[in-house]
Amino acid sequence: MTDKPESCDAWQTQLSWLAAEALPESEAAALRQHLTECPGCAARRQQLVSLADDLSRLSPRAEELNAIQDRLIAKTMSAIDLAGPSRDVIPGRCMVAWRWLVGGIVATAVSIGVLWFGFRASETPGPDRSVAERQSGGGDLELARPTLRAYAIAFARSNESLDSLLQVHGEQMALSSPGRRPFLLEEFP
Amino acid sequence: MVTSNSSDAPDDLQLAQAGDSRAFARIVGLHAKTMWLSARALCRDEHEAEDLAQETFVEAWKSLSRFDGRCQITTWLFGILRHRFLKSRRKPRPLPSSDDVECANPRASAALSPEKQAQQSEDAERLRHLLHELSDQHRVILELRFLAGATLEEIATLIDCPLGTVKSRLHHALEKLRRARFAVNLFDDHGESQASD
Repeated sequence: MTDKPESCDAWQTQLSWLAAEALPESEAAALRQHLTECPGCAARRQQLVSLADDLSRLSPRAEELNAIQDRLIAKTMSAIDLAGPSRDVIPGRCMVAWRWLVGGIVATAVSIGVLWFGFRASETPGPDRSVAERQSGGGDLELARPTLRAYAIAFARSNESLDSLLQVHGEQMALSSPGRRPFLLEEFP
Repeated sequence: MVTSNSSDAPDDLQLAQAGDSRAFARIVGLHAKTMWLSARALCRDEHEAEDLAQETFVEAWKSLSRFDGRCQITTWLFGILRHRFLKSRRKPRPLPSSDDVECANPRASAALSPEKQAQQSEDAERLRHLLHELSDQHRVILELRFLAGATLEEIATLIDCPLGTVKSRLHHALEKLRRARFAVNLFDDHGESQASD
């Protein structure tokens, strides 16, 4: 067997697949023909088939496999009972739809609540603001607090508006700190 | 044990898809051994293999209605098994001990004499040792094919390799094992040079 026929090289992979019973019949027929003519390949095939048989025998005993099979069935069915019905059968789909619906309703309600409270908070006037608003006479929220913007708006309107604003804010200061003169009067006597 | 579970029990499948757990139990029974052997080939641990196979079946039950029958149910289960195996690998776990990777005793034949049985047991032990000396990618292919009885297409699904790679590895793995088993002298061996993958 020291000769190495070139034609045999092509058959080596097919020999392995034949031993593994994974060679298509169309190719197996040609290989069997070659095996009748080549004792070297026939001997190799014998070794591979013997090896495949021995590998198959490494599998656990039938009784052990049966016990594993029984355990697997029992454990799987127990897990399935706990998990409930299949996720995708019709009741499952309904359940998923219901979950989305309830989640959507809750999310919408929370959003509306947040918006409503935010709106109420911005609408509710504080005690100082109501006084300023009332006394400035315009009901103008932007003039209710002594900000630069409020003074800019009042200045743009008229001198009377500015005087009125100064008066209102001076009174606010007097109300908030009764023992102290209004700063506006101190700064603009 | 080069057999493939190709009977997909269409009636049971339809019943199971409609929510019949008993029908699904029959499907589990049909594929339990293959799944366990395949899981063991992948993870090299009998207990972990059992958990893995169980998780595979539970996952299959949960998504059974998505199985459209375009492939065999075994192939579909192998896909789930592979997914579960990869997921389990992401968790840190102790490496399997040498005891874990040992296979169970070989099947004993009642017809054999005690001497023959002892000889067979010794041969099996040697072969098991040679098998575990192969690289993982070669060992897995041989275990899946010869112990679990998976087809080459199923093996390709399970290890996520092209079919051509599976065929190539199968050839090289068998060839390496043959050389080791029969102590082939490379210079006397007719047919080919050293196989490699």
